[in-house]
Amino acid sequence: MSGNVVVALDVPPGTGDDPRPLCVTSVNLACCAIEAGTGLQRWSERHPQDDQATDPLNVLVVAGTVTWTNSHLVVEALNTLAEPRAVVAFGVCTISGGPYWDSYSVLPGISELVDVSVNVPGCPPHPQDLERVLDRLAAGELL
Amino acid sequence: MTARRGAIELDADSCTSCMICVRECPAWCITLDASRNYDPDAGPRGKSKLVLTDFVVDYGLCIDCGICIDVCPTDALAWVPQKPAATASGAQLREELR
Amino acid sequence: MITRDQVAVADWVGALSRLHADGLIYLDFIAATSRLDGGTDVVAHVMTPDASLRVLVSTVVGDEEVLESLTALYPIAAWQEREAAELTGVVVRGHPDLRALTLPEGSPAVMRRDFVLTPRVDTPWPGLAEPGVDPDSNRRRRVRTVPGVPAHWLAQPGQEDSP
Repeated sequence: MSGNVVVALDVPPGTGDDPRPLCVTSVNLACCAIEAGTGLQRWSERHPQDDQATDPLNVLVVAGTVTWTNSHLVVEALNTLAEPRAVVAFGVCTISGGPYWDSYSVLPGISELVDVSVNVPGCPPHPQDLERVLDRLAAGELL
Repeated sequence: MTARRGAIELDADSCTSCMICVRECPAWCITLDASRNYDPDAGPRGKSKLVLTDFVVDYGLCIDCGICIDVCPTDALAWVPQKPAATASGAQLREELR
Repeated sequence: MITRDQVAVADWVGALSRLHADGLIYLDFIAATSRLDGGTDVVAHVMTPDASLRVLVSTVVGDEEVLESLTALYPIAAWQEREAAELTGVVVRGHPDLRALTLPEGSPAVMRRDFVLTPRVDTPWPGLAEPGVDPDSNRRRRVRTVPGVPAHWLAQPGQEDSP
């Protein structure tokens, strides 16, 4: 897959409340990718990679405007993830099309394209918003 | 210092239901309803007053532009720094401020 | 310093040739905008390489008229004209390779004013509400237009508003 799909980060179980390990893949399409990337970076600093982690929740973070032309990247990225998996729609472009809601070329959100587990509002959302979502997913919430 | 862009706070008592914010929003994300209350004892012939009943912002569409806050003639709208929490369904992002 | 020049479409190449001969050999962009009342506004921004002289040359290309290609003068116009043609439907003559640049081949001219943005037509505009106004009253109210929705996009009388 081309460079739009980025790094998977594993998290170890067992800290405190025994959070579930997450394996996070992000589809970085536009400006929201900057905030999502920052949030992912900060979150991964708090959760060092553990190659021994088993049974992770596979999380796909979709960050940025999805057009009819690039929508296949989202589907292909999701298809690389085994269950259990969750899709996080990060930013209003992925929820409704955002500022481009009326555009001829933009999907009005990705909910018809893939099953979305979490919608993160914002244009863009704060990086902390993604950190909070990942914390909650690791704690077994939101699903 | 201006608050960080995030969500919108409404002072319902200042809102006159003028609809300017609804009509200026580029994402069409605000819905407003009001009803007219008639007070026969107010003034020589009674007075009817518009009372805000519903003010809903759809945060699945809100692009944080702040136009609604800028155009409100009574300054009834303001930034609050925290967006509503992430939700499982897009429909849950419609937040009722009134 | 930037100056603006409005020319007739028949003088498009002539005007740009004169500017090119005067040293404005750098073409920054050609932008085409569909006009609501028909035709296409086309603007070319040319400048001297040190940006000391800059000119915005505009013309209006009627729906039945043709824009001559600038590629012989400014090779970089090739992509600019491809994009203008595919998005607004403006007819460009003398272009070496008028393939679509950004849209799938065979797409309609999506930036034309008669290309309907269906979300704008299908989505009820919250601004149409008139809270507190009795809908049955005889008082004349201003007919409100929906922003971004030209009248000719709306359903003809007798058609349903929504599917």
